[in-house]
Amino acid sequence: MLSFSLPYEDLLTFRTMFISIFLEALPFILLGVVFSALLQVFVSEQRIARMIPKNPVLGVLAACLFGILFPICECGMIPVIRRLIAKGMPVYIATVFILSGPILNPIVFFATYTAFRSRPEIWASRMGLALIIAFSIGLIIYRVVRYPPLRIRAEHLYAQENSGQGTPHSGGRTAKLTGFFNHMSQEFFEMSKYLLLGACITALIHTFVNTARLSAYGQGPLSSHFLMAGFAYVLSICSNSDAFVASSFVNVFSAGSLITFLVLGPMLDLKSTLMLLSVFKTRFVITLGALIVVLVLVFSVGLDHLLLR
Amino acid sequence: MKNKRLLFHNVTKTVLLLALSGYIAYLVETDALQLYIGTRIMPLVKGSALVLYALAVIQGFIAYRSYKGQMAECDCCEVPQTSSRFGSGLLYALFILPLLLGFTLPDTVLSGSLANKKGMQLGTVPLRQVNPATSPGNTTPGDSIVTGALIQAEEPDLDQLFQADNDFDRDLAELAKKLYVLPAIEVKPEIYMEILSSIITFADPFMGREIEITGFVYREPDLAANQFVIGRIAVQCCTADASPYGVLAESEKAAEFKNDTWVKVKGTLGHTVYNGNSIIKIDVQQIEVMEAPENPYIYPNFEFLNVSLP
Repeated sequence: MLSFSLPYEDLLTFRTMFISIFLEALPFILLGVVFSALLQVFVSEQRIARMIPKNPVLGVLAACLFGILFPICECGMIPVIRRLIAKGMPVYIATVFILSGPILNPIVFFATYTAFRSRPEIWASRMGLALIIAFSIGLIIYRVVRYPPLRIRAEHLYAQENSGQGTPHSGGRTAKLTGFFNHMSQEFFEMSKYLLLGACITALIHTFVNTARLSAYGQGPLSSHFLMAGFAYVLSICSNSDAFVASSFVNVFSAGSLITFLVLGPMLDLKSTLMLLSVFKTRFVITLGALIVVLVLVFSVGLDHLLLR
Repeated sequence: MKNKRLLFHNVTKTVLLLALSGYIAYLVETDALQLYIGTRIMPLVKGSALVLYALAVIQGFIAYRSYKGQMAECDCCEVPQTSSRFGSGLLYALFILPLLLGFTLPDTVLSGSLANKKGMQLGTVPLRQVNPATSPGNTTPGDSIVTGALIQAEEPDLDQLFQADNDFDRDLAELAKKLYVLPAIEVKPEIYMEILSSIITFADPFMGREIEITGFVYREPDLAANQFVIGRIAVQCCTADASPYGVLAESEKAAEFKNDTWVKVKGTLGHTVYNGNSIIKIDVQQIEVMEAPENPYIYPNFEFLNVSLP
């Protein structure tokens, strides 16, 4: 049955969704921007170079566990990794941060655990698959990507700080401080542009797409996975709370497809795609997106059929 | 020329930062923030307002300096501003849109139309094998009232009645025991979902018991004329994760209550079959219209056992 609702009512729903998604992401963006600024001041390129293991396998593995120390979801991650890349961190390591950070961290673990306390296989698979997939993609990127994937050349990104001691701000401490804050607010606006665009589209989808009607396909061996992958992508729910939404699907969708939802969403969704585009070239974002979708589906369909059915 | 553009950007950014932090303060002041953000995230959003305000002050200072011409030489500030005039126009438009919508249109409570899109979760009673040793007699609703009343005083039987085989169910069983000894179950908004899950998980002993619940009236297209759903929207972080939960109610007066009306219902618990699932329902004895509560949403409560009942 079609529901009839007035356009004005839809506008109000859109307004609520849009403002809500934006406000919820705001603290994390600010945290990311502040953290990125602190990294700039307190952590030198040399220290970062020393911290990263020379062996790529070890490096990727260490990066997978970075989220445990730095529990922040995708919105806050982007400014931080951009700064880290500018400071010389290899792109494959940074990519692993983006993929594993929003899932393999204590806050998300706790949220998933509470939402699925009576279904330990779901939270365990989520954490396990996230680790395996982030690890594999890290190594693939290390082997395959041979071009500089950043949208802007790193040395241009933070021109002032990178130009060493003889900065244009020779006007003393005040000028340096204003320069620092100026960049912080600039980074905030730059990130917000993509976030707002993402929030706007996501809010439109929440307002107009009827997810209830699609749930008829919730038990198909493949269709359920594709459907949940699609939901995860377009709904762009923050990884802190997606387990809660997944738990509301528990009677309608198969357990395996819920895992697809829980692993794919934090790694890749509409909002984060737009934010990734603020850092990386389109070509790189498409490669990364395709890798994520294929690997998540392969692993999670495989797991579903081998263990959960 | 370049100076003027820089000044324009700095002033616009100052105004936008101020407006955004002002908007959050306004939401806090009018108690409307809870319509957008889950309680857990709220302190973070309030903190953001302060950070934004600080950024606005600094941006204002930078604007002042660029007005004085002191910042004009700093070409570093131009570099990240790779966006063209169109690009920055788009950025400002995107920023103004939520502020404009926020300040001009009224705050709304998500209810029926959202439930329609997301699909109302009606408590499906899990089909589990009823163990004859633990179930109180043959479980027709009428019988349970009698057995329920008999067992009520005896503690050990309660443990038998509410057995759980994992940690979470054990917590729900604890809650069920507390609910079971009450003369009437009031579904408190603080632990709304937990009380309902507890009732759904251990459905049988609760059949025929008295229950009191509040929510908005909602209807699925295939409900009978005397049926409606009493719904609530559960929110965790933001409304993107809003999920509707509800209980089916049956009343002769159902037709008098339009969709999205907030009601307070008293009745007895029973169960019925809907769309092939066994679900719990309330046979309404008393129903009255009420004002929408100040905080209409419900939140998952991880410390639900610490909430005092009734």
